[in-house]
Amino acid sequence: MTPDEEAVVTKVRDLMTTLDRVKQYRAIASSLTDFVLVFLSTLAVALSFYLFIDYLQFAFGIGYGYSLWPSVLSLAAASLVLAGLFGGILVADRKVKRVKAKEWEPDLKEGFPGAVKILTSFDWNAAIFDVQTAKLGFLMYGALKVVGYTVALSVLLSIGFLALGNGILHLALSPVFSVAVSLILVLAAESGDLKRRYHESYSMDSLIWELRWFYSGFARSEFKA
Amino acid sequence: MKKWAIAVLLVALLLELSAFSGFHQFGGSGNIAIGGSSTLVIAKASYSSARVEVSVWPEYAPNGTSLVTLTFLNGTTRPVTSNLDFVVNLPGKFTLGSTFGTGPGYSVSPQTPVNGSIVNSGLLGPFGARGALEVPGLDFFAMQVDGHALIWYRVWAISL
Repeated sequence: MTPDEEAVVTKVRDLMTTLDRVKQYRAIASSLTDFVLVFLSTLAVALSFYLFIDYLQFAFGIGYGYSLWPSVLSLAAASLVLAGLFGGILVADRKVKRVKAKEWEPDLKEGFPGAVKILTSFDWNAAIFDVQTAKLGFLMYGALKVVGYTVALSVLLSIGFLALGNGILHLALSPVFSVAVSLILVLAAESGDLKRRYHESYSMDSLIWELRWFYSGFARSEFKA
Repeated sequence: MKKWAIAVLLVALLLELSAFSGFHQFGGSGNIAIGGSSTLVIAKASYSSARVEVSVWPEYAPNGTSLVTLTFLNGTTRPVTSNLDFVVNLPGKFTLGSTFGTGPGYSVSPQTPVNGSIVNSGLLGPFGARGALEVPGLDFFAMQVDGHALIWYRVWAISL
């Protein structure tokens, strides 16, 4: 292989590796609906629990005084939200793992002819569209994860603060305080992931331009040949 | 199909969140002095259902007797000789429109469909303002306490 042919093979390998990653992101994008469905279902059940607590108080006066039942039910509801969140992540994760990668490897092992074979059979428009969809799904998934963790943590913290505020500090801590503390904690814990997502989405932007450039360059060379 | 399921779930979640505003809870207590008269007034919009828990603890005279009497809205009177706890359920009925009403010890509005407090006068006695507790669209629980007693009340209500 000449140095130019080697460069083409390397570039095609880079391109196909990135597109494999895009396939995974697309799987994340398509599993967003499942994730939202699982999470919203558990949220609806958790809210029903809270409504049930209110109804018990209305109907039987349960929860007045030092009854443990409201705390137990609140904890169960918070656990449900957490379970829904992890369930949603699990569903998305399973879809990503099912994505087949490196199917182009045998062709590239043939060297330059294999690279040309891949390029000629490549659907450029579909690839550019895939990159755009994957980028959106990738960012949305990250945002939803932060929102979900914040909701679940703030429910847990509210229960904790209620016990701490009433029992030890004798303070009435606002629910906004739990949400704010949860958001700060979640952002601190997820900052690495958020940074990674930001950089990856940026690299996807450059990939879109690289793909366009590659496409026009390849089309021109094909036309000349 | 999944998109419709999400839409239905979102509507259900919004309904659930709205339902929280339908639950109301409040309470209070009062110490009725010797020879005094006070009235516990709980008013609610007709469309609300309420559960009123009341405790009356009479203070005893040195000879061990209690001179506390309770008078209810329907005119029934009963003496209280020992600590008394009871629950009154005020059922709701379907009505259209909003209800407003303000009177002695209560102020009812669509935002506060159930309200009440202890009024330091005998509203249900011969010279009381019983008429203030007859308002269209509102239901009342009222109990006049004559004598030396401690009273507690707690109200849970639902307006859906």
